[in-house]
Amino acid sequence: METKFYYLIKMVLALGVLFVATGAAAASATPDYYKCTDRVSGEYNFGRAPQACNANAFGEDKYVLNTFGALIYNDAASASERARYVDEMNAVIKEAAAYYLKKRKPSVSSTELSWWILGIQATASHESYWSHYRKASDARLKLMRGDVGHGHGMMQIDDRAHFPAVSNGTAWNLTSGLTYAMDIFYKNWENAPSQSCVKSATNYEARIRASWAAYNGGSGKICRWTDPNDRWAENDKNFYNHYSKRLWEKYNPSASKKASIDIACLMEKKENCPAPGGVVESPALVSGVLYQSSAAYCVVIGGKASCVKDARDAICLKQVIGFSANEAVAVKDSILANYSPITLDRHALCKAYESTLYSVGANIEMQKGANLRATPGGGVVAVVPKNQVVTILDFEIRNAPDNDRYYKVNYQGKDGYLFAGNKNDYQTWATVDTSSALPSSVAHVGEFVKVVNSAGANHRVNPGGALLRLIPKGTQLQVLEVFVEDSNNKVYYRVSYQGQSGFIYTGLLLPTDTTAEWTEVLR
Amino acid sequence: MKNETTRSLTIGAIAVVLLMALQMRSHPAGTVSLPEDLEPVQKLQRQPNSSKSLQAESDENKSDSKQSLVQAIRSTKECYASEKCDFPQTDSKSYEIAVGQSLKSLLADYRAKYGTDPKNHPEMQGLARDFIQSPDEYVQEQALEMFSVLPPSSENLESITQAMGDTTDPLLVDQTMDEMKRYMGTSEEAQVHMYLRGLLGDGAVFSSEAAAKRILSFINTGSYPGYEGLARTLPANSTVGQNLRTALDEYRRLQTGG
Repeated sequence: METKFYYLIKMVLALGVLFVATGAAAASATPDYYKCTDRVSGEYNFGRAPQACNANAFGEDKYVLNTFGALIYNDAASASERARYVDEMNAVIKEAAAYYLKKRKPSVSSTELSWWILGIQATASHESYWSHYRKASDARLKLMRGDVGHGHGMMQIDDRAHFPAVSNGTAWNLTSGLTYAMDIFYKNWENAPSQSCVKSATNYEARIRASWAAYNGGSGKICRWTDPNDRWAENDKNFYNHYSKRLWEKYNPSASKKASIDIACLMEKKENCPAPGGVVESPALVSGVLYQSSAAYCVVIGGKASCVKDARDAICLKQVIGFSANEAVAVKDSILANYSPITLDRHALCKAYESTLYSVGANIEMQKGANLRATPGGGVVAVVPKNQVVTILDFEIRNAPDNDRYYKVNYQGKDGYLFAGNKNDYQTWATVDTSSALPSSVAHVGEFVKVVNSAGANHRVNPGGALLRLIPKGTQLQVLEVFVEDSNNKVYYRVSYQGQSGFIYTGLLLPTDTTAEWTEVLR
Repeated sequence: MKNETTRSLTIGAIAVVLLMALQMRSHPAGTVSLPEDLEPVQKLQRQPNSSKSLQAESDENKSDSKQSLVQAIRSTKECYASEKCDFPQTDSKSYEIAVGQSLKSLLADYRAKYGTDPKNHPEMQGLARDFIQSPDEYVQEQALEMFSVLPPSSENLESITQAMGDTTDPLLVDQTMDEMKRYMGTSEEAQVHMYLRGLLGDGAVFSSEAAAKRILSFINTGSYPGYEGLARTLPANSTVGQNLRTALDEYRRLQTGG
C-alpha cells in the first residue's frame, strides 16, 4: 500500500508539470526504497542504522543465516549485542580489507596497508555504522538501506549508479558487497596522490579523506573535503568524525580476533565456503574432520586423505566419512602429503553422496515456477515457469542433511541457478525429461553432432585416455553417452567411429561454455 | 547513509519524477502475478527500465535537430562542473547521477538517429572519444555503443583502453571485450592483449573476473606466451588465475584435438 501511495503522489506531482519538462532528462529509474518491504527504522549506531528492508529481495535468507550467522545484528538480544557485533564485524572488515589490498598490490607496505584498513573501517562506519544484516523486531532478516533506500548494505552501494550489482545480489552479499565497494574505493585511493589536495602517496590521512569524498560524491569530488563551502561539506565533516574518533573503538573490538567466515574463499568464490575451524598443528589428522589445505578440502579415513578441489563440493566428502561441523580446519600441505591425498571427481562423488541429484547435461522439466538467480543464493535474474524444460549446466549441493540442490541453467539467454528442492521434495520441483530436444549446447544420447574444431577431435578409449585416432573436422557422429567430469564440467561424448567406440572431448561448461568450439549439435 | 535532507525539487527534477512514474506503470513487478515463493523478475541490465530522452525532433529539420542534440549533449556535460542545472540535489550522488542519465539518453538518441550515416561518423567519433572518459558508467556504456558502429581505428582503441583500464564495472568489461574482438587480426591486436593482460593482472576484482571468463577467444599462437606468463604470477586460489589457466588449457586442447 505504501508503495502504491508513493507512486500516486509522484504521479500527481508529475502531472502538474506535464508540459514543462525540458531541461532535465530522466534520473535513474530506481525509485526510492526500491524493492523494500517491511521497512524498519533503527538508530544511528553500530549494527542498527536506519533504515532496513527485507533482505530476501536480493538473495536467499537461508544462505545468509547459514554463512553469516555471527554477522547478523539481533535486535532482540541483550545489551551486549552491539559490542559482540562490532567485534565480529571488525575482524571481517580488517581481514577483507587486507586481503583485498594484498591482492591488488602484492608488495604493499605494512604502513600503507594499515592506513588502507583504517580507510575501509571509517568508510563502512560513516556509510552505515557497519550495519548490514539485521534480525529486526518483526523477526525478519533485513538488509540496511540508506539514502532514501538507494544505498544497499554496509558500504551503501547505490542502486541508481550500480543497478546490476544491486539486482544480482552483489550488494546484498556481505563479502561481495565489500569487495565491490573496495574496487571503487581503490580506484580513488590510487587516483588520490595525483590530486592537488593530496599530493603524496604517503599523505595517508588526506588520501583517505579524498578517497572517501570521491566514493561519496563521485570522482569529480575527490577534493571536496577541502572546500567548506561545498553543498555536501557536511558529509566530509561527518566522515572525518568517524575516521578521527574511530567510533567503533568505543566497543573495544579485539585486535586479534579472527573472522568467523573464510574471507579469502568468499571474496574469490562469492558463496558456499565452509567456515574457518582453526588450524591443526599436529601431524596426526583424524577422521570426522574437514581439512582445508592450500588447494583442496579433504577428509581422512584409514590413513588416506580424500579431497575435492572446490569448497562448494566439500559437502560431498560426507560420502567418504561423516563430519558434523560446517567448518574446515586449516592444515599445512606438508602434513596432508603424509596421507597420500587423492582428488575425487565432483560429479561421481556428489552423485554417490546424493543419489537423487540430477546430472549435468540432463534436461529437467520444472514442476513449479522457480527463481533463476545470478548465484545459487543471490539476486533473481528471471523466473523459470512451471513446465519449462531446461538443461543442467552445473550443480551445487548445500545444507546437509537435507541436501538442497541448485542447478545452473540457461533460460532465455540468461545463465543462473535454480533452487530445485532437497532430497525429500526434489521431484516436486523438477523431474528429468528425456523426450525434449532442447536447443542446448550439450547433446543428448541419440542425437548427432558435427566436429567443428579445426584440429578435429581425438577419439580416445575413455575420457582423457589412450588415443585411438583423430576424427577430422566436419565428421558427423551419433552420441552414445554423455560423460561430464572435473570442476570445470568437462563434457565428453562416447561415439562410434570407424567401427570403434570411444570418447571425444567436447568442451567445458565452466566458467563459460566452450562446447560450440568443439562440436555442433545437429537438430 | 549520507545527508538525507530533502530539498525542493526544481521543475526539471519533477519532470524526472514524471518519467519515473510513467515507467513504473509498466514495470513487470506491478503487473505479473507470480507464485508465492517467487520474487519479481529483474533483468540483469543496468536499469530496471529504459529511459527516454526528452529531446524532440522534427523529421523535416534533421540538420537543425542534430545540431540541437549535439548542443544539448555539450551543455549537459557542462552541468558537471557548473552544478547549476535542473537536476535534483537530494543527496550527494543524485545530481551527478542525473546528469549522467541525461547524457546517456542524449548519446543514445544521437546514435540511434544519426549513427548509421557515415557522414556523421567523424562527429560521433569525437563524442565517443570524449564520453568514454566520463566518470559515469552509463555514459561510458553509450560511448562504447558508439564505438561499436564506427570503423576500428588505433585512436579509438587507444581511447578505450585508456578509459577502461581501471573500470570497476564488469558489464563494461564485457562490452569492451566485444569491441576488442574487432581489433583481433589487425595491426592493433598487440594493444588489445596489453590491455587485457593489465586488466587480468592488476584490474578491479569484478572486472578482472569478467575478463578471465571470456579470455579464451583472445588466446592465439601469438598471445599465448603472454597470458601463460601472466597466469604463472597469479595466486593459486585466485579466481582470475584459475579461469585464465583453464582457458590456456582449453586453448591447448583445441590445438591438439582434446
